[in-house]
Amino acid sequence: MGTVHAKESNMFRNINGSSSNEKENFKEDNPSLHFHEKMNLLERKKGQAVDLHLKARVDRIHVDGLIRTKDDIIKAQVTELFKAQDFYDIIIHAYKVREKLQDLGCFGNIGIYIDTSHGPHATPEGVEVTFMVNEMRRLTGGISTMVGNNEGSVIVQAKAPNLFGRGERLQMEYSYGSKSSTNISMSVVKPFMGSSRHKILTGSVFNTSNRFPWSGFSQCDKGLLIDLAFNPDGTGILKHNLQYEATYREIISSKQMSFRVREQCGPNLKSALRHICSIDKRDSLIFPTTGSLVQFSTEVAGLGGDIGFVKNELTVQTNWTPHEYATFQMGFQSGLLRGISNDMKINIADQFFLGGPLNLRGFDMRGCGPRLDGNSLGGNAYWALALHLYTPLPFRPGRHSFGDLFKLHGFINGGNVSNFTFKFANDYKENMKIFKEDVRCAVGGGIAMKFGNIARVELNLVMPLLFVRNDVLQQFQFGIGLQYL
Amino acid sequence: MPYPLLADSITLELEAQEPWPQLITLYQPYEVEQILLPDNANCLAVQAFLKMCGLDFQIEPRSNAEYMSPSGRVPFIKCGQFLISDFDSIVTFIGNKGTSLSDHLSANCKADMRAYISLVNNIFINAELYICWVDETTLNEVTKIRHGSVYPWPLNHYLNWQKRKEVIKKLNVLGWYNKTLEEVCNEVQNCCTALSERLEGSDYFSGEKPTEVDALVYGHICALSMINPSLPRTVQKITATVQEFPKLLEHASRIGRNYLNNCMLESACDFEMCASSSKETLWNYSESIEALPPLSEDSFEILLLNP
Amino acid sequence: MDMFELTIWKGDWGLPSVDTECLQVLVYAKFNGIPLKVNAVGNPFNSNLPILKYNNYTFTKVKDIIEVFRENNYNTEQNLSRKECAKIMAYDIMLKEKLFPALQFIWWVDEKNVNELIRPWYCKAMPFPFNFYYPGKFERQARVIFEALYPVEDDISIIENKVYSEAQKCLTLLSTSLGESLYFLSEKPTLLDAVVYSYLAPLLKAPLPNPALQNHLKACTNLVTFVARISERYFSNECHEYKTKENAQNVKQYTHNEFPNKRRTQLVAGFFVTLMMATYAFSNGILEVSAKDSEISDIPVEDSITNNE
Repeated sequence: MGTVHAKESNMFRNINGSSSNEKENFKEDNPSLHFHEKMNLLERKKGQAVDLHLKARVDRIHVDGLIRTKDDIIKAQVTELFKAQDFYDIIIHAYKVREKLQDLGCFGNIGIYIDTSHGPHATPEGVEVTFMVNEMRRLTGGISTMVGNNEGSVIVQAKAPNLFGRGERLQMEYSYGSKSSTNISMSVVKPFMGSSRHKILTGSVFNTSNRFPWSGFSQCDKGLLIDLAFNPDGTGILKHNLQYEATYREIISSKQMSFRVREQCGPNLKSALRHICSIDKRDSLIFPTTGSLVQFSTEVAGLGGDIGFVKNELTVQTNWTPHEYATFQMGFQSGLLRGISNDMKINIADQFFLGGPLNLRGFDMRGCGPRLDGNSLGGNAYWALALHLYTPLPFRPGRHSFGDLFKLHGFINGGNVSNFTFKFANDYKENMKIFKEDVRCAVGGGIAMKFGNIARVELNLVMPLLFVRNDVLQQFQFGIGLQYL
Repeated sequence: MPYPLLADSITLELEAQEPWPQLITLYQPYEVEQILLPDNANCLAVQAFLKMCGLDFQIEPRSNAEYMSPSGRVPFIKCGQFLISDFDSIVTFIGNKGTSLSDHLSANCKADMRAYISLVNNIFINAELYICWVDETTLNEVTKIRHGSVYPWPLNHYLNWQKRKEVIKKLNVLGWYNKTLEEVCNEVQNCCTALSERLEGSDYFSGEKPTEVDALVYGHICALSMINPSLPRTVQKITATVQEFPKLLEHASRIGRNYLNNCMLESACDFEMCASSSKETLWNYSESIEALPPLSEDSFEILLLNP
Repeated sequence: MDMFELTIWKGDWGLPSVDTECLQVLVYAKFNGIPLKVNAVGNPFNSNLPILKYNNYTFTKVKDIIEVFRENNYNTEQNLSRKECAKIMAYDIMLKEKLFPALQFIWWVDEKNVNELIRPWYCKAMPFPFNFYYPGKFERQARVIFEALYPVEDDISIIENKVYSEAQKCLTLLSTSLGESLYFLSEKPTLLDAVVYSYLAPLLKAPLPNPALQNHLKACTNLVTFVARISERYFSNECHEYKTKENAQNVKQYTHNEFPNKRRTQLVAGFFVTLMMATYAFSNGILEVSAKDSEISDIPVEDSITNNE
């Protein structure tokens, strides 16, 4: 597949043996720096300087190791490599292509080899790129344990990747928690890679149960989620998700609950459309040093079912690193929930809650906002703002390895959640009430750790500054989770 | 303070210290479009019981009453800080507050009353559950439509299925699921015979004054004999069985007249009415036990928020 | 005339049968003096015991069996008023509602009882391949009962509390209802006595390791005497057999152990007390019967002796 051409006949490069670890490193460090290092290595070996901006042309691309995977989706992934103008371009593009191939979820290790091209059709400055891929087995699975939300759970996963040769996969996950909560989900993923626009369609069925002792109820969900994800620019920075969710939710009362919560018990059906648009220019998910994230989501429930509302949420995060040892981070979240008609209910499960060790620190889970009889009722509008200053561990133990998983941080966060009636009239004062009255605020510091590059663990000592009599305060907090403020 | 459930006698000791009487709110499903036969019977029984005790209460219909109830059964009452469901528990609770209908009875008589309460609770409720959820005609023509009426499609089908499964499991354990409709009618007939014989010639089961059993029997007889003639024939069979016992119908209409001021039963048993009409004078003081106009929704909310 | 042939669960602990329904039928038959051929078995090939075979017909439901007895003019209720018959029905239902779940709980759900007494007993009582299957099956059945009766409750200890408190209330009611009389309805035993006995006897006699409800029953002395009276009068064989066995075991234990099992001594003491009470009540019963019935000649002799003195 593709054509070959070579210029420097003895130029053979194994740029990367590709393991996920190395991929991470690449993502976090300055990419160009990394490249230079690699190139320098090569230079030394060869004993001659390589001009990275040397003109080069990709004559031919090989993909080795394909068995089940269909050619068309591979072609769609690799064609962008032919656009490369010089050698530097080729390397950058090769990395991108490798990432794309990996995103297909069909391959284990992917190796890249670049060689000068040979043969009758070789152009003078042509190179030949070879991707060595390793297809995954038909069925993979695993058992793992997880601790989170004060509960330990066992997760059994099974995955059938690349079912029909075009990246389709079937996933199944079952988790059983120590507090007898079970989650089962089964999803079918179908990527559409044909055009330049990258679409992934996911359909999943799930059955989850969660307990919310802070609000006095537990919730049992059975539902269906169809998600279409696409990034129009193809770079992965701007992302849209269009989702449809139909969920049968049952609110189950706990022994002692406020009557207000009890009134909401019972089954309900939520049928909702959701649009999530995010622009993520951050360099890392958990400890970013630069770049910012803007995410806007809109949810409209009420297409059938008995739950009806419009919910808007905005999440902003921006990072700034003036010095190697100091990173400032500002995070802001806000949301607004409105009913659409009197026939449609809004359940307590749809409300916004604030507080928790990774949320509004200094308050217990769902620790602030409207409460009754010790149960948090939630509000229909909220905002929260947090300002962090991160530094690496003092004296940098375990630098470039284990020590980089930890950071110290100091923060000040604040926010408010309340029931808010939006007035369209020019009642500015009334509408700004949520930002002025009963604002909660806390300062603190602690240690944060990243966990598998997706989760975050924090241990903080916090001092609440502003709070309301009803709020549940916590001075010492330990939190683990995927999302954070 | 959260609402404790009436679970054991320790809470019963505690609750005696609360001021009494308090506002009682009775939660039940919607009577017109949702409620099913067994629930309706229980709700009527509790209403009759509260009326007999001379307690004011306010009926609050909720579509999810069943799920709000601490025991999963309707009706339940909210009294101050407490939520109590089921006829038996409500009787115990009210009794602990010092209002009891059977205090004047001998211990032996009380024991008999308990036995009759069990009898009614088991035979009638199981028979009602059987008609509603096992009998195919009633299930399709009435139960599914009514039970599902408060939920959106397709949730109504799922919940009907789920509820039916639960009821069948219970009836199976109690040995009712494998009965035929005739056997169920026989059981009802036996139970009615027993009750009718116990009643003999007196106004109420234990003489001149009504007791808990009277309220319970009233609820079931009322619910079973009130069934609309447009309903499927299987239901009418049960109705006909109940109608064979004029003493019970008369007893129910007497309670209806004296305590609930309704004439629901009048049409059902007009022909037996003549005999008992003379007794009405005995009970005309009941006019005074009429319910107070219910408090408005708002004032109730305030009570909740500032306990 | 054809013989009644009754197949029941076998008994132990001085009970003719360990199963409530079997006991009910058996006791009712004894009350009526029905000539029975009793097969006490320990293999539930047909788990619907009791089974009555009569005139080549087979009956398995308690209700049907009693109906058969009645058809053959064995009826203890013919002299009762209709109101009393209604009472029998009401009490029957009440006991089934309140005591049956409690017995099931004690028998098959309470772990201590199941592990230390019930399962070993059934394993021993049943023949080889079945003793591995049936006890587990019974346990599952009992669990299903509680799942169905308490669908919203998943904490077994709360269910246990509820079941026990209902059963205790019911026992107290029975105790008040019986009062000082010999039997529930009249001077003669009736179906109601058979029903009550069938629930109380297993609860009272089984040497349960977890005797929460048993202790409550033992505190209701009139019920204890009631059970002892019926056992003594109608099942004296089983009673004596068990007692001698128990005694033999005790003697063995005395020789083996200087400090004998405290509970067992208590049990024996309790037994003797019950026995004393039972004999007292028994003699009372004979006196009353003799007053009406002149065929018994022992008493007048006694009377005459006292007169002579």
